[in-house]
Amino acid sequence: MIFLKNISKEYKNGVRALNGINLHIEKGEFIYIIGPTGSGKSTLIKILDGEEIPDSGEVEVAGVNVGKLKHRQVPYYRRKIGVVFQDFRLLPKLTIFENIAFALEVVGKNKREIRKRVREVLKLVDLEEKAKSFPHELSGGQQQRAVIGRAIANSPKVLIADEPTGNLDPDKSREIIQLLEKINEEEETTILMVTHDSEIVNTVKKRTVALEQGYIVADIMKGGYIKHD
Amino acid sequence: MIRSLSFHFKSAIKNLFRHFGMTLLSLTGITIILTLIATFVVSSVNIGAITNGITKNIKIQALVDPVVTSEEIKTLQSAIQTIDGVESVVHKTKHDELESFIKNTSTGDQESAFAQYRGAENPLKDAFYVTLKNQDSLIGSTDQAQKQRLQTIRQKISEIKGITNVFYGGSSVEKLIVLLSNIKIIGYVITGILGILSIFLIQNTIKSTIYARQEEIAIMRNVGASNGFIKVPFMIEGIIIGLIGSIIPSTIVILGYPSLYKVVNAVKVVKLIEVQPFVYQVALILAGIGMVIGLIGAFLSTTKYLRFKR
Ligand SMILES: Nc1ncnc2c1ncn2[C@@H]1O[C@H](COP(=O)(O)OP(=O)(O)OP(=O)(O)O)[C@@H](O)[C@H]1O
Ligand SMILES: [Mg+2]
Repeated sequence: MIFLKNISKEYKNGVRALNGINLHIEKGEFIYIIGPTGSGKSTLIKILDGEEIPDSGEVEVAGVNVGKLKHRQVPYYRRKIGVVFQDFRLLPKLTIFENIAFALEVVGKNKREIRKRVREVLKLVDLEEKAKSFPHELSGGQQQRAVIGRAIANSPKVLIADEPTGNLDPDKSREIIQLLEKINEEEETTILMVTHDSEIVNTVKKRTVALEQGYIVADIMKGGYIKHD
Repeated sequence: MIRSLSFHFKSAIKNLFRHFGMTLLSLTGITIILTLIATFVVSSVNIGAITNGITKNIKIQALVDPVVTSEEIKTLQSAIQTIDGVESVVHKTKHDELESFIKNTSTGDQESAFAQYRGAENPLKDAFYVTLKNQDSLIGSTDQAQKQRLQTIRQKISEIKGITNVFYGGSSVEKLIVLLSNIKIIGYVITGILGILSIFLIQNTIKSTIYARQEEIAIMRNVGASNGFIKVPFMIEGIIIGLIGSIIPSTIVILGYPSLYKVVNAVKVVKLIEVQPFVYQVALILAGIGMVIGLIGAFLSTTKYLRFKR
């Protein structure tokens, strides 16, 4: 589902964010990306969602050669993937229902399809009773669930999340992980999640890839957070 | 695309109100600019019409060689008549000519001194008075072309055998036509500059809308909205601003032009274009210009903003 071959990325300011990254992620996998701050995790996400172009190497996600996409092709590629960021907010003037429907409206789905899919998604993220609420009426955890709901509204094959639990307390973080596991199982979505949270990585064990200074330093199938001195 | 039109419309209207201050500012600007454009459109179209009117009122006087017999006069007349652009040809004998000359130079009941030339002593020549076809189209023929046409006809008449001299308003008429033409050109240039200015104005308004909606745009991009889709509500917003901006200038034209028409036509020197349907045509043109300006402004600012975004 995701193939990274010898990916390197240097920003214009000379920072080498990624160095020769090789990574294969199978369909239906759930994988953590961990690493200290500045190790290149977000850069990796940006390369996967087409925001940044790698200097060298190949990226393939869901059969799309992401690095070779033209600017105007990027939006169509985005419909195949879902991306969640830590600080990615909901539109404050739209209800939760409308926020999720938004993702379907922008790709031109018709009203009936939209209503049907939004109900499905609301059920999946367990926010059915909040459909008519506005974002400020929801807790942080509920908001992040709505954001995840929006990201999977178009039934993407891959869900990429950059620190989706970054702002949440441990209980709420656990809820999010459980939701992602559910999406992974029920929607058969391949999930790649960047996290700083050693608690999660150590308890909800998954394949874990560790980055450090732009290099992959570990790829552990059974999970577990790598200790640093 | 049609399916989501209501979605775009709603978000365009929402934006207009969300940034009411900025919208008001650019509306005021567009209104002023369109009012000036209206002034130029009304005056340049009228100048065109006046130029046409001048040409129409020009009578070319062609003098006939005295050796031409009265039978040959008929052939001469039809020769002039067949020249392209000639409306009518009236023949006046040298006696008619003298009578009208005497009449023009007489004061009160005191007959002019030229009366003594009546009869065989008449020094005048027979003449043809040629009127020209009116080329009445709003933008059609340019003033240069009018001038050209005038000279060509004059040339052709003077080449006819039996015609000695050809007169018309002459260079003073030409000069007036050229002057009016230059005024018109200046009008167009200023209109163009104002148009570009208003595009910048709208561009900035839309830019501030874009910045205020950065997050929404980022979310749109995140869920896979194409650039075209993202642009639509901004373009609608631009069109609406342009359209609303044309309301006051159009009203000014519709209510103000009839008065101008009355005043100017009362002087009886020149005749302005009839009020109807002219004012409605101008209003339509203003609305069109407003919308196009809005569309271009919005297109430029959104394209600029989205160009390098992935
Ligand atoms: N747009 C950019 N321009 C220049 N340098 C950048 C840019 N984005 C990131 N960097 C640099 O690239 C390196 C990797 O950054 P990245 O954001 O990928 O790290 P990260 O692992 O996500 O860190 P964190 O855990 O703090 O989010 C850092 O040194 C960062 O300063
Ligand atoms: Mg990061």
